Amino acid sequence: MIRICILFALAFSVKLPAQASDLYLGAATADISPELPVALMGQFHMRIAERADTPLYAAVVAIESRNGNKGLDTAVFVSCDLVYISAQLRRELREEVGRRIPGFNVSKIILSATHTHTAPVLEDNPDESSFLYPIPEEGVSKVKDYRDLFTKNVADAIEKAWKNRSRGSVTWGLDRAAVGYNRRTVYADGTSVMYGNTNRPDFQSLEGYEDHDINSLFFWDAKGKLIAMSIDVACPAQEFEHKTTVNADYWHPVRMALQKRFGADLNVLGWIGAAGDQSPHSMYRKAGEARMQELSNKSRMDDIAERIIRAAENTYEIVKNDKQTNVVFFHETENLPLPMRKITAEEYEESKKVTEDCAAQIAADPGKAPQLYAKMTWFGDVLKRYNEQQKNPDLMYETEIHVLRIGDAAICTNQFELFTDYGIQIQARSKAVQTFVIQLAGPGTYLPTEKAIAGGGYSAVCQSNVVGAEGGQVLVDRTLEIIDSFWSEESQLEIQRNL
Amino acid sequence: MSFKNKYFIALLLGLFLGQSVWASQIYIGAQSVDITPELPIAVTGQFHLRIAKEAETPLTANILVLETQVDNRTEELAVMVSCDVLYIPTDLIQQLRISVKQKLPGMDVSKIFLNATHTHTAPVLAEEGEYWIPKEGVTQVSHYRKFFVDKITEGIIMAWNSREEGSVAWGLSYAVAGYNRRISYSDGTSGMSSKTNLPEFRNLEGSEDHDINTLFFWNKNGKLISMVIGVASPSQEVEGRHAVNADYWHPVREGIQEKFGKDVCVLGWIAAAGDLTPHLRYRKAADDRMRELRDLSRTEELARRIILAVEESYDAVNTEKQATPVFKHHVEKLPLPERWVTERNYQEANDFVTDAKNQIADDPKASDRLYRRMKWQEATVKRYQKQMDHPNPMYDMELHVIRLGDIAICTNEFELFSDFGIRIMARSKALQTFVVQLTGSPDWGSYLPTTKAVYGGAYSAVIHSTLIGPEGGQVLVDRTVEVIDGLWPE
Repeated sequence: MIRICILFALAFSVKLPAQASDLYLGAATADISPELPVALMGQFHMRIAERADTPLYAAVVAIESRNGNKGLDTAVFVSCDLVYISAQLRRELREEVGRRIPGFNVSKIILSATHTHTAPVLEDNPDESSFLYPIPEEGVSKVKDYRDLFTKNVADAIEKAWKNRSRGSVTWGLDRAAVGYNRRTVYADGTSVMYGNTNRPDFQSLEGYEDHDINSLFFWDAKGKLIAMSIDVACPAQEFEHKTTVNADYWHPVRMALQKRFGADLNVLGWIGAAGDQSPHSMYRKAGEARMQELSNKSRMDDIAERIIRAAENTYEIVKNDKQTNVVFFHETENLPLPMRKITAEEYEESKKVTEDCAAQIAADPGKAPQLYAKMTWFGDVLKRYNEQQKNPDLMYETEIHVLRIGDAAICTNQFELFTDYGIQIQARSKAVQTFVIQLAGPGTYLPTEKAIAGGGYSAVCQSNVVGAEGGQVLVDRTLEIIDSFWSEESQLEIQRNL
Repeated sequence: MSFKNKYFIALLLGLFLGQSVWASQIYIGAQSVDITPELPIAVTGQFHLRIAKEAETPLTANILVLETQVDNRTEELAVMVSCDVLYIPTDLIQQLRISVKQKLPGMDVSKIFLNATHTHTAPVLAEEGEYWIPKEGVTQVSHYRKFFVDKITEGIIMAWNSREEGSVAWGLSYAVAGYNRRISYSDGTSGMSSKTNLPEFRNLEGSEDHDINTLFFWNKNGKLISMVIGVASPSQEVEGRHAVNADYWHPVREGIQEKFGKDVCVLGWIAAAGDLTPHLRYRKAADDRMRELRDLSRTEELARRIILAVEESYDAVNTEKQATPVFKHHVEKLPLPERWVTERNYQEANDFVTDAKNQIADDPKASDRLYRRMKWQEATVKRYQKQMDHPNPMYDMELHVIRLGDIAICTNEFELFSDFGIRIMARSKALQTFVVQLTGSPDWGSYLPTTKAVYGGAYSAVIHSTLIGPEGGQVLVDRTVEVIDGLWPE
């Protein structure tokens, strides 16, 4: 009898449109520009920025699903103009929000980085970071002071977004823009090089795929005003990665243009799709592209921004009449254990040699520290991992993931610079109509594919990877398991219960 | 330094360094001709026989003549013909050249090249061996071949006779129209157009090339008369239909002509795209939703994307007209090593052919589904037998390389995997390099796969589909780059 009832309920639920709960939406943006001068994160050599070309922002969307007055689930997305999100920064922000909004489940806050290489250093603790700079004690903003500024301003924005939430609507859409290019070059001997020269007789191919989809979400408030949009681009914001100034990279012109079009108070969340092997830098036909930009009176940065803006605007025009006010909403978060990449004895020896060499050079000439210190700590971390591995050969790395369902769309996060193929796997196998993958929602290290590890090169060597291809597959499979559960019969019943 | 200044300096350098990069006034003629067949007719591109009783769109051949002159005589020439067909058998190209030569005895007909858009809904062109086509009630292949040659000859003559001083510009934009169709799995195998929503799915095997390369041509009055659009995606969105259809090029042409003038002659070139198609391999539901919200068919959606890219290029380059671009056209027969047929390949193919022959003998209707497949493998048997007498078989491919101003155009006869095209583009000295595939093919399904594709297997990389293997592909790339480089003297 019970089975019959369940079957009946299922049959009923399947026929229902995807209506589940009201969404209450709020949005805000925090200025997270640092005090100058400040040390920048993203290159091996230390860079001190004396000037800010653009502000840095963190854009916030707060979502609560409700049945009447009953809160069902929440999510707070925070997209940050930072190179990554350190664990300490996330922890400090959650603690602050927990203090300000009692009872708020701060584990539902999702911070992600756009990967701009011209934003402040976030870490100074040797126990937590493998990439440290010898930042002067005086005359430069302290790393801790920047974290405090970030925490205060972003907590303000989250508080504002949460308090101002109102019954709103959402929709999703897809367009295309060629922004990210695969940056790993494969040669005839099977080796790969990041940014390797393609103009060589032994050039064979780019190692992996390019994902030119632009996935967008649009959020309206109770009055039908567009309050926020998220734009997911499978390309890190690092066109200006070598600058010695503070710069939000391509998200700055994208935000400016979208705010001009849709209103100055529009909150634009820049998400980066799985793009560990992508960058905005062309790997071939550069002269042809440069000519087109020059003829159009555009810089490469203008060109990137225009492509994204056009995709976002085109998407908006098509989906704006498909607003969803009652949608299925789920948000699961978990700490997923991933097998760590094993360090071989050869890798250990090589890393030891480089670490000692850097240390010796710095000892002999302290003026070399700005060039060599981060390299030393980067290689040095391999030694720590190897020593840990000797005690426990099956080390696991716990990574925080978030998986959401919003209507027909799924959103999943990971903390890595995730190679594109993993993102494609998730999208291809997902039960959602549209699947958003957000990388760098945490401390970022590259997560390469098996073929990338075989090819080698920066981004696929052990120094670049805490987790290897085996862990990448676990991440994909578990993410999909959760996505699938949101479309399961059990979830349908839960939707019914909440109606 | 602006590009105008760079051009000026390049011109001055050319003057100082000799005549090798000296440029003359370009003469341009363009003509479209209708090559829609008489119905019903057998269409080609699938293993099973399809008889089209309906033409959903016309088929066209679009012709562009470029010439420079010295003392009123041809100095350099290119006749480029883009055809709404699956591929163009090499023997048919020779027939066309003979036909043109009869009408225009002074023309160097070796400078004609034809390319196929690879629509799978166009008539069979191979004289024999493709399908067991009924002898009655269907337009015969020989009849259509004659019609094809006559119409294109007529079109070339019209384009030739209408040529006049003009100008050209080139541009680059992007549109996502081609998707990689080869799926790699965890066991190292690949599938063509196979499933991605499987736990063992790992990645798309190769690249995608979303560049849209364009050429624009104006007459002496500044009227746009023709354009070339290079897309790395074969025109096979409606490939399974039992109808005649020019696929996405039809709505592209209609859209372009609506915006730029009904007389604009649009040449569709397919760049290296042996591993690409217009079909999505994942996130199809999201793409379909957007398309349905736009109320477009899939071919219309592809056309929308391509037209937007063309417009973007046009807007940027239409003030960059070149009346006296450097113009060189090199043609050669390039010997490529044929892919080795192993004994096992031979045995398997021979077994299949024997079995298929028996099935057809038992039931002649079986030929509809088996004949094409049998012929496909029979070619492998013949290659093996030839290999016994000639252990290092070579295939002479006709290669065209053109320099037009700062850009290069290079052709190949294959469904060339996109990585080869990217190798050429990456190493070319040209500002922009147009790769044109399927410019006459020795057989149906002349894929040219990469090493990783051969390793992964599947339809487009197996021995029967590939006269030339990765080794020959690299020879093609190296020689093409060498010829291009030779057109840019230091």
